Formats: sequence, structure tokens, C-alpha cells
Amino acid sequence: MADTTHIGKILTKCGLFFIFLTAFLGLFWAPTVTGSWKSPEAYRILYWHVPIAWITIISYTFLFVGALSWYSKRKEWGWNLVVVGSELSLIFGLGAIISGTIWGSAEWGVPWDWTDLRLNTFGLLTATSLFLVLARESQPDGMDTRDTLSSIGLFGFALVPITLIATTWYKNRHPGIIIIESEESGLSSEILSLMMMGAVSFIILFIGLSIVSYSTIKLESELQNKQMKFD
Amino acid sequence: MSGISEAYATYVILSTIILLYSFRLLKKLSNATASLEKISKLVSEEDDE
Repeated sequence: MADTTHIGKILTKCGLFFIFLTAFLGLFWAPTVTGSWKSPEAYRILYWHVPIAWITIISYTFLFVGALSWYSKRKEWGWNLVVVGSELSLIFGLGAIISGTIWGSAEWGVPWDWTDLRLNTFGLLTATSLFLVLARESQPDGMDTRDTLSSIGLFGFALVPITLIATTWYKNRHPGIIIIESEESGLSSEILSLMMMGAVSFIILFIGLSIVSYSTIKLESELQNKQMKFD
Repeated sequence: MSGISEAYATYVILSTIILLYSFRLLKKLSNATASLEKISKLVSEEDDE
């Protein structure tokens, strides 16, 4: 347990270092984009926006797996995964929405498009995470609370596949998958390499934060048991 | 409008959110570890008595 916690701390610190390195290189080293961009320098936001959006989806998958496990087998680790997934999907979801709206304002002239499927399903997904975090903080911990919040997490996950296929299935304003469809996006290999570096950095940070968050929940539960024993 | 000021603003806002959350989580972990060590010590002392 102590070793895992230590690994979590190291991964978190490494992840933080590499995401800031990506931001620095994105702002001061990466070339300017060419083509029909309205605000060519604003694209630098995407070095964080794209991986943050991916991590939000991975966090929500954690939440789904945890909710499923809690709901079907009452596994304690399943509930812990719900807690970790809801917190991380809220933090990263907010990050994707903030960066997306600023980029949208610069590039499209509007921060949000209510007719775009991906934007709206992603917004709903983050709103669900916010609800789960607030509800968990305000309700006493018990079987009923866990059941209710897990079922909301399960239903919320239905938005994930819609969000993922939204840009190809119902393309409106949000761009397609820029790393795969590089010819369409007109991005150079330097830009794509830096985007991949950003993605790897955020994955390292995500793994670190997940381990630290999971370990904290386990330690707090152990602490509660010992306190009861001591009392 | 090149959009560079929007890029700087985004990185400042997101860095603040990510750093605050990460440090809060790391602090919570070290507090939980310290409290657990303390209570384990008290429980073992109690058992000895």
C-alpha cells in the first residue's frame, strides 16, 4: 500500500512537470498554424484541451466500471472507483469546457454552440459529475446514497459513446479527430508530436492522481475503523 | 486577432485548477497517513495497557 501510494505521488509530480513542459513548448516553441484559421495563435490552447477531454472520458469510464461493480456486487473498490472517477471527471471536464469556450470565442466568435451535439453531451457529462461530487459531499454515506449515485453514474455513461461519435455522426461546429485526421486539420508533424506528448503527460498525471485519490479514500476508511475501535 | 492572449489566459486558469486540485489531494493523503500512524500508535498503547 505504501509503495503504491509512493508511486502515485511520483507519477502525479512527473505528470505535472510534463504537462507544464507541454504548455511551455506549445506557447513558445510550436509553429503557428497555416490555413483557414480565424485566430491562428489560439490553436495553442488545443495542446491541453484535447488530452484533457480524453482524460475526462477515461475518468467517466472509471466511474462507470465502479458504479457497475457497486450496483451488481456491492464491491467496496467499486464505490471507491465511483468517488475517484466523479472527482477526476469533474476537474478535467471543467478544464475541457473552460479551454473549449475560450478557444471557441477566439476561433468561432461564440463560446458555445447549442446546436452542436458534442458540446452539449460533454456539458451534460460534466454537469452529471458535478452533481455526483456535490451529492456525495452533502449526503451521509450509506447503502441508499451509494445506490442512487451509482445509478446516476450508470445512466450518465450513456452520454459517453454519443460524445465520442458526435463529430463524425452529427458534425456541426466541433472539429473532427485532429490527431487521426491530420490531413483534414492541416497540422504539421511538430504540432502532432507535441499533441501526443501532451496526451502522454496527461495520462501519467491521471494515473498518479487516481492512485493518490484511491489511496486516500482507503486510508480514510481505515482511519475511521481504527477510531471506532479506539472509542 | 491572433488569439495569443486567449491562449495565455487559458493556461493560467487551467494551471490554477489542476495545481490546486493536485496539491489538495496530496495534502489530504499526507494528513490521512499521519492521522493513521497516530491512531495506530494509540491503539497499540491501549492494547499494551
